[in-house]
Amino acid sequence: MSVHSQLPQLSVAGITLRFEGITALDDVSFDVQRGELFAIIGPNGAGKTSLLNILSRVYQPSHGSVLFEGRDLLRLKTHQIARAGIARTFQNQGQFPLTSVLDYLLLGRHIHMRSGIVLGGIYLGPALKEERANRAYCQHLLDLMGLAPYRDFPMGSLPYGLQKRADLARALAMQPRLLLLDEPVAGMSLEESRDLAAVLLDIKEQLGITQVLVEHDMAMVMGIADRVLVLDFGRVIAQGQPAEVQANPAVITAYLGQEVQRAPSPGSVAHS
Amino acid sequence: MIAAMATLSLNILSGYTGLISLGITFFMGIGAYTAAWLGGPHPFFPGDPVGLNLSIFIWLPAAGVVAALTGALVGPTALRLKGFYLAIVTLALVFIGLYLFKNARAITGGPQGRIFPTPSFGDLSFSSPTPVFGVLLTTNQWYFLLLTPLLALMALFVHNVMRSRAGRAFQAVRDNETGAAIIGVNLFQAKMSAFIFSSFLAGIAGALWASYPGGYAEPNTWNLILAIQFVAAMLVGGVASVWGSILGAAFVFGLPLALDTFSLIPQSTSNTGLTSGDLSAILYGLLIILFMLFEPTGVIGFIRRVTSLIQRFDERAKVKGGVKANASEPVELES
Repeated sequence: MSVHSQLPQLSVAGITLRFEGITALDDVSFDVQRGELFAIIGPNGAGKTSLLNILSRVYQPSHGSVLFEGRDLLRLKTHQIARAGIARTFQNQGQFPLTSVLDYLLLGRHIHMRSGIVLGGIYLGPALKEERANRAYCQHLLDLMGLAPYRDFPMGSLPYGLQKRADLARALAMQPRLLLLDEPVAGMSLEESRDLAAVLLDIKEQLGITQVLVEHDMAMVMGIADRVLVLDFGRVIAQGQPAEVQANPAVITAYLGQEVQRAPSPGSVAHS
Repeated sequence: MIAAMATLSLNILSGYTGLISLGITFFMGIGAYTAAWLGGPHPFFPGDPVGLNLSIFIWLPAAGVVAALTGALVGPTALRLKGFYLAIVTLALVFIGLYLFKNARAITGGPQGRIFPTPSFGDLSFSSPTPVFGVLLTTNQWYFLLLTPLLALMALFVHNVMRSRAGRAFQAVRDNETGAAIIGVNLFQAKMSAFIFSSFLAGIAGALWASYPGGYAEPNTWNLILAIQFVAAMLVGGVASVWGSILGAAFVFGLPLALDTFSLIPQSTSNTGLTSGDLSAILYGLLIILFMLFEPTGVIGFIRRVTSLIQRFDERAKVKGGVKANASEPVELES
């Protein structure tokens, strides 16, 4: 094994993010290994999505560094992240309500295609060839994800669970080496979230894509993650194997403790 | 048809990419004066505006290219702004344009205007009825023969762009900038491409616009009212639609002609009466309001809705219970 493959693929060190006096993230550090399914959990408002927004260059942290495959991520612009090999899904849907599912996946192929206005306008030769190849690729992905029947539906007309699935398919169409998932099962039924957990495990085992998953559905995370990081009020309170984290007293107090107390009403994880 | 070209140009920028612009007449003007400079007649008297008397194969593409270059020049500044602010900046462009066009006498002929080139191919000139193969065609018929394929070509080109990579990027930028950037769309590049592409078509439309009504135009042609008429055409016809642009332009610019031709309003002998221009202005103003309220996707949206209703009726039989449009509760994925 080369030295390079033993280095963490993603290395986050000392990230601090402040919004006008509020510290959303405070000195957060962690490493993610290649091929790992790494979960970030925490109650609502713990800073999970903020962390993902830093990794996808939507927010600029006040301190800290992010290295991805040895590159300084914080020097890249938002649109360069995709080309660097990182794709992310969105927590809330509805960004592209009019786009058909197929076109949405093709939008995901943007970074892998070349033709611009002139070639696209002529729509012959190289542009046509490229368009056909990428349509076939997306069609294949739709078949795999069980989305084929909805190919021509506008995203906005699909139920929430299917929109999230299409969004994941779009992120996969980008052929990333790191996949950032922002609450992939939030708002889904139990059955839908079980299906999705199986898809995530398939992505890990069959495609070997590294995944960083932000979620507050504890049960789902503990079942599939290799390692878990727990955030509370912007701080890392625990980090490690799911079993270790579950046993950690700080986690139980901050997060699981309240779960246990509210055991009579399962399913209500909301903590605002 | 020339109006349809200009509306198409505006739809690329505002309809597909979501960049609201009122500056289309500025780019049309640039195109027109480029055409005039390159294709106009040689000065007859000293002091006449310059003209190099070149062929249409040079002045028409050049009109597009120079307008596109102007777009590339203005773009970086204008595109820093969004929405309403961009509209204001492009509005300012129209007034800067009017000032420039009135004062650059050597090219534009100053406030009284100048002669623009009429399309001519060899001996064949559009300015007078010319027989070809024994058939005598009027100026209007010649224009029709030139413009139809040109418009068809433009429409096809725009349609192709919108169904390929660049067009998908434009529409993603319109729908959600941050989302588009995360997916890897370079926002600045996408907006600039749309701006330049739109300016190119506007330039060509401008050159033809000036050449058509007798080959004469004054700087005031390129005013704000005309720009707003194109916005109206886009809104009535259909935002983000090629056919919508054509239908909208036909409607907005054809309405005054239709009213005149069919004498739908009583002719008044004094100058104070209701003219066909006034009446059509009132009519399409009313229509914009109605369309914005009831059918924001324009005529084309209305047509699409009717056809999709028919299709949905068919599909409901196929995917039974699979998907409900606008379902509020999650529907389980079968298979």
